[in-house]
Amino acid sequence: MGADFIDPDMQEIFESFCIETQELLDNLMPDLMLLEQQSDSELLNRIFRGFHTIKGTSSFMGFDTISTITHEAENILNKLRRNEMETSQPLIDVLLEVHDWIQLLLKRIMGGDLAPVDYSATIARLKALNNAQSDNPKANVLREESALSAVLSNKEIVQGSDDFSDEELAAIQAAFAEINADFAKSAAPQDSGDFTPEEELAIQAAFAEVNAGMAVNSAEKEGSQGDFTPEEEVQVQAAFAEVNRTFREAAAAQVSAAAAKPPSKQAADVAQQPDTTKKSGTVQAESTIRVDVARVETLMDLSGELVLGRNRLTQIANRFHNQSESGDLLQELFDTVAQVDFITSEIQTAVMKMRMIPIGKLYQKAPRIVRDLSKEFHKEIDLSLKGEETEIDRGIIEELNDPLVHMIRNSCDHGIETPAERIEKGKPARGHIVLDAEQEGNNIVIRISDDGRGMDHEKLKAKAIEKGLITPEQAAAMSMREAFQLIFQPGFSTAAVVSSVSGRGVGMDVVRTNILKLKGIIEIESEIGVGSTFVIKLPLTLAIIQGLLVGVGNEVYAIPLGSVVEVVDAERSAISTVNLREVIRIREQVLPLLRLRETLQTPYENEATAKEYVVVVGLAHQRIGIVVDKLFGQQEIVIKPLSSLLGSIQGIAGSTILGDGRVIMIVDIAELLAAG
Amino acid sequence: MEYSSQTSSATNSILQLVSFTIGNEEFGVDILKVQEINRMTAITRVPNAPEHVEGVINLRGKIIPIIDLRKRLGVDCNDHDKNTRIIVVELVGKVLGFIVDSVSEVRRIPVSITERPPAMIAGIRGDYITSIAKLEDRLLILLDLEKILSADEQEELAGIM
Repeated sequence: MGADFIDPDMQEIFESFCIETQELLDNLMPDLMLLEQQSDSELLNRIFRGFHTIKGTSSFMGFDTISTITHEAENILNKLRRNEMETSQPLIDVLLEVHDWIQLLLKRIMGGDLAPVDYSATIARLKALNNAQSDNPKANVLREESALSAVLSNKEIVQGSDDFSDEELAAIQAAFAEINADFAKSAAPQDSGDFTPEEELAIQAAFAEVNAGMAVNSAEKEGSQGDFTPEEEVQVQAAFAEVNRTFREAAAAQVSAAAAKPPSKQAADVAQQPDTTKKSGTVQAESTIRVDVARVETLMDLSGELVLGRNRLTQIANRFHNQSESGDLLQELFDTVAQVDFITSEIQTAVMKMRMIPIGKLYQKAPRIVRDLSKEFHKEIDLSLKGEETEIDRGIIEELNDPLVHMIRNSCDHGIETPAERIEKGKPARGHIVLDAEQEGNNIVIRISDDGRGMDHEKLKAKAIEKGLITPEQAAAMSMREAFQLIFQPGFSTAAVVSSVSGRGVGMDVVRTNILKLKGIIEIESEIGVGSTFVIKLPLTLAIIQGLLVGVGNEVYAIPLGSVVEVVDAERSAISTVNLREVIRIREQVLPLLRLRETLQTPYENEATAKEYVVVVGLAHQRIGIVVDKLFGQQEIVIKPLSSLLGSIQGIAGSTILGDGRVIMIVDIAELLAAG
Repeated sequence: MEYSSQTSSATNSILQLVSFTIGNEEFGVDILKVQEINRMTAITRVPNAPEHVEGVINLRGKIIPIIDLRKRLGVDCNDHDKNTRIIVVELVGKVLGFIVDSVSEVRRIPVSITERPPAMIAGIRGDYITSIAKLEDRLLILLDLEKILSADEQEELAGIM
């Protein structure tokens, strides 16, 4: 963290502040979204505590920009918590706004930027909400009641006498009148009535009693007696006690009712996630430790070394074996090597798991995006999240964030229709987007599906021709799948109207670029009128891959096995030349050929090579044949990036060390495809 | 940093150098910059890399780039022989190796016998050279490895743009 403005002694505290605040923000987001659906005291308390902690720590750290705005939010939450205010749409909007400001400020502070931001509009909205007279009758009743109690107790303490002055009586009566009015309001619309009918009756009876007492009192007053008789006094106080008790019971009943109330179906969908995180959260607090990422990375590197050492050991053992030496000692060596082999694999897996985090982390932003967008587009969209517990390398998660946001936006904007359109088509008014993740072998598969209008491949083709991205001939030769891939072309946008969210034709381009960078594949399945599904396939980890070792001249290169489609014998395949470029025909497909020897300018000694192989590689839907001289088989390889001193080298993705200590280069398939 | 500024300010202080030869010239670099000196090992060529980058080697599990100092300085190249060495240095936090024809010795020389370099010496650009030390029978060229490296990067950048 590049925070030079922090005292070195404070550095550690600063770092934990950043981590903690980020965590709080991450937890607050689903809670705030949940508040939109339901409001219970536990949830409110949790949100309040979150903001409260952020306020406290940020003010301790001296980040007043954060603490000021958090303080305002806390004021409102405190009222909500004490039932002095009810949650409302504008209120949650503004709380989400506060969340965004804190997030922005935190990011900036982490980047060393302490400059204040202008969030005065948000503050003004917070203050307005805070000062607004609450419309909640129940809260008003409670407030009036406390005012009344204050007058009464004041009377007892100050005067020590039983006499009410005229003004006091007037105040009491006014207060009662207001309570009555509020009460009537609360009783009238059945849905806003938080009191049960029995409670209402009890309260009304109590009021009647108080009123009667008061009437008696004021009647006597007119007869110049001027004070409560002891009986009257007792009557009034008893009535108050009754009112008080009823209120308390009502409040208690409400709390338990809220707790017992089954959340609405919709809320349940959203509630699922926070609930699970909450549960695992409490367990985590006891059984997890926070470890610096750098330490895990070091461990990862070391375990990589261990893999190399093991590979070497295995090679040496095999050499002994080939020299056909025999004996107990050799057997012992073999046994030991086998054991080291096993343990190394175990360690490697364990360390890799340490870097894995549940994909739910990635999902966190999704509900908010869908909420904001459905408002913006006046659409009704539900979001379901599945497979949150699926684990994936944290490096991949970070890279996946932007693509996912773009795809959700795409689904909300282009996929889901407006409610009117949907009803017309005989679909439910509410659209549905599903995020689903699961592990399939060594891959993670993420699906983003919507039940929207689907994609018309003919329209896509027409559009691409119009934009000059493809020729009509190319379009004619395109399959449906290939046509869908057109939306990933830079400069392609299907929306007729450019909206603030999508339609600028950059988003989907970014999606594919990022996915390819992660050595992943993205495919689209779509049916007009039924919906579209984006399927992303990613490797579980980027650090260790299966590589196909190939020989070119005297050099050895590794090709990531994930990209290899098949290997064919060059002699037996039909290699021909089209437009001065070599192509190979494999079954019905014609693929461009690339000679690795030429691409990588490998020094060549004997021109006449005995044999050539064609390694067919592919990413997404692109395929290309790579000509090599030798095949050495496959091996697990640890990717080591090339030194930054070398900069980025064309056609090379990284390097690795073989069992015998040799360094070899890993071919960058994406770049070769781009070149081919 | 403080240490080196002291050594250069005090006229009587001593420089500790690793001296090596490239072609017919003798060079020296600050011993504090040198991590280790290795015999020649198998170097893996990096395709499409800049010309002076000889390749990469496996240094106990770390892959480090190797720069041919001879090509870098424009001195005639001999083939690698049994005297050829790789000087592993750490510069600006990065580890890399330089190929030299042979490594001679560790020398201690007083700062007083060094001089500012002329603009060009033995065909080597003056800004790669910190100073020239006049030994009894010959000259020792003290190299500024950081400059050599940064010039690399500058040229690479220029090449991209």
